[in-house]
Amino acid sequence: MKFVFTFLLSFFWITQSGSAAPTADQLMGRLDELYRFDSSTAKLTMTITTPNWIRSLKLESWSLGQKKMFIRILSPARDAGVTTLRVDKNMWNFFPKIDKVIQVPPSMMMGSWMGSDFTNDDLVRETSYKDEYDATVSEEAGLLKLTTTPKPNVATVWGKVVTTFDPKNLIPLGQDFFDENGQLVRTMSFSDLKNFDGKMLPSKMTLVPKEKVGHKTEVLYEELKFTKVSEDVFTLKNLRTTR
Amino acid sequence: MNAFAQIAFRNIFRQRRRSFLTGLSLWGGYVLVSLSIALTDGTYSHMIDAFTGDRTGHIQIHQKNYLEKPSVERMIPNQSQILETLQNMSTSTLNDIIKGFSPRVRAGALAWAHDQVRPVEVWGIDPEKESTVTRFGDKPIDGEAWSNIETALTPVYVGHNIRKQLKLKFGEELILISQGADGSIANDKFFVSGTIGTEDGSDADSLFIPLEAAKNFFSSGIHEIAVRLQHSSSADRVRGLLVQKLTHEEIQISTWAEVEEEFYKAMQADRRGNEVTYIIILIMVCVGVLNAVLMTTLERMREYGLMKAVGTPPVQMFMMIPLEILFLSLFSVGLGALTALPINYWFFKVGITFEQPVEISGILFDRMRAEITTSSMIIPALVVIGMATAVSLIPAIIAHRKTALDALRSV
Repeated sequence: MKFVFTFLLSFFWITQSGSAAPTADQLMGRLDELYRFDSSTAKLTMTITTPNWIRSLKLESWSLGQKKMFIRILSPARDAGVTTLRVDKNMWNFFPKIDKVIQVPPSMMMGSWMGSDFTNDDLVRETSYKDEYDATVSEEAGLLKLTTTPKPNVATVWGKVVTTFDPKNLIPLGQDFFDENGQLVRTMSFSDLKNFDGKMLPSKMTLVPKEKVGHKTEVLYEELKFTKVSEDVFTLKNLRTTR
Repeated sequence: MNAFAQIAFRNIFRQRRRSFLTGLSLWGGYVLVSLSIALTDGTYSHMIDAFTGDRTGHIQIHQKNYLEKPSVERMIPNQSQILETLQNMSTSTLNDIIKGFSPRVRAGALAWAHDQVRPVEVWGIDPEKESTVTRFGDKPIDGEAWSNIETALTPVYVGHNIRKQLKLKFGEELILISQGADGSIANDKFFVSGTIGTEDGSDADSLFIPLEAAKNFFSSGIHEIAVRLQHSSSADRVRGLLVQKLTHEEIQISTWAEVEEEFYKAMQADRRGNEVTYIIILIMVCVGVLNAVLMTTLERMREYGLMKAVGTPPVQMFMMIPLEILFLSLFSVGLGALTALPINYWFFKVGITFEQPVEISGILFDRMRAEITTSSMIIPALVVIGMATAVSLIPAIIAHRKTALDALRSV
């Protein structure tokens, strides 16, 4: 979810920043600036599609800065009440049925979050594009492309990330994630602009992993507010509360 | 030819001691090979029964490619239709061949108790149906049967290794966490109703849950249907019939030999090794036969010379020696069969008990038993008669090549 938030907020920043064609440094700086949007609450639906099943989760989330996030599953009934807390690089899940809080070990960070195509790592990653990536901006077929590659010694699973923007409004249309061998691993597309708390943002994101045929995860934001969130939300005690 | 057959038959009794010794080696060879084959067949039949009766069954039905890459998501399509077809076949056309069938949920999970976590192999089963396919109903259970448990939690049986590592006792709670077939996180508490199997048995790392509870837990259908037949030898035939009946292209029907491919290949390799032993025994028998017949032929060379001199056709001369051995081997093998039958039967009924049971793939074997099969009685008979007759061709050729004059000059 942090991953999703990162992009939503960065797009907001960009759309607010004027019409001049941005340089690569400016774009990366602006991506990093999104961390300044410190708190938000959201209600969203995550639909996971595989060749064998389709599952929809209704979620409620809270974020504070870049380092804290809390997610609660509202439905389906089978999963209702399952919560996820992320503080810095630590992550916990609470399962009410067994009344257990389970910390996600580092070995599981690349594992799927609740069966989706998002990994646990997507939720905890703190990327500073300006510090960790080199970037170039180009124009292709009338679209603005920001190509970011990790600097040497930066620990990341991506060899390259290409973000495509609509040059008219600087709203992102999609993102391609490549591995170290230059193979496209997954794509994220953004659509359905919507006014959230007075700001125009794409409300729908679709993540498609390339190596898993027939799999995709759609995230549809129904509500997103940039309101103040209490520190108390992001505690292990709150993880165990049902509401 | 009748006269020559009579002469050949009577020749057996001219050198009774030699014929007795030749017959004895033929008899011994037959009995040894017959017993060896019966013991091999019996041992493997016992192993196959132990394997298939422990968990495999004789035939298994899965979603295509499940065996290569098992996954909780790979459920059998059209489950109810397949189960109905099996039910119809087992009660009508194949009621004397199909003993039973059992639908199963199969998946891995993490088991958690007393702050200890370990992976377990979860089996969702219907105990009644499972008992028609495997020895589930006969396995020792240290605890209470599910039907006797009254609790809000689902009762489970755990294997010995799970009980030991998680320090579980009867009536305690056990948490299972896994991935559901719909991508959800399957998590729930269960009631430990007993420990199943033995400490060294194949179930030591397994955990058994009632079938419907397993379906709910994993949000899944069934992953496997195991079918038990009256005898493992019908597996290929029944598989063929099932392939004709269950035509869904996404299912895979496999015999136990395909499911337990490694065991089957090891068994076949061992069989090949045993065949080498049989051949060595038979070669030793044949060398003895060759020696005896060659001696007889050389002693009778004057007789052959005389027969040639009076105009005996060469073909009849040539045939007389192999015919004599054929009669002798038929008699020896007949006697051998009468001897081997009770010996094989004793090994079938009583067998040899091992001081220390031997474990193969988690299953303990404590006894070696024979099995009386057509292959243990007919194959050695055909091989002994065939090989003895074949080696007798050598002295027959020697006698045939001698001219009447040379033969008469012989000692």
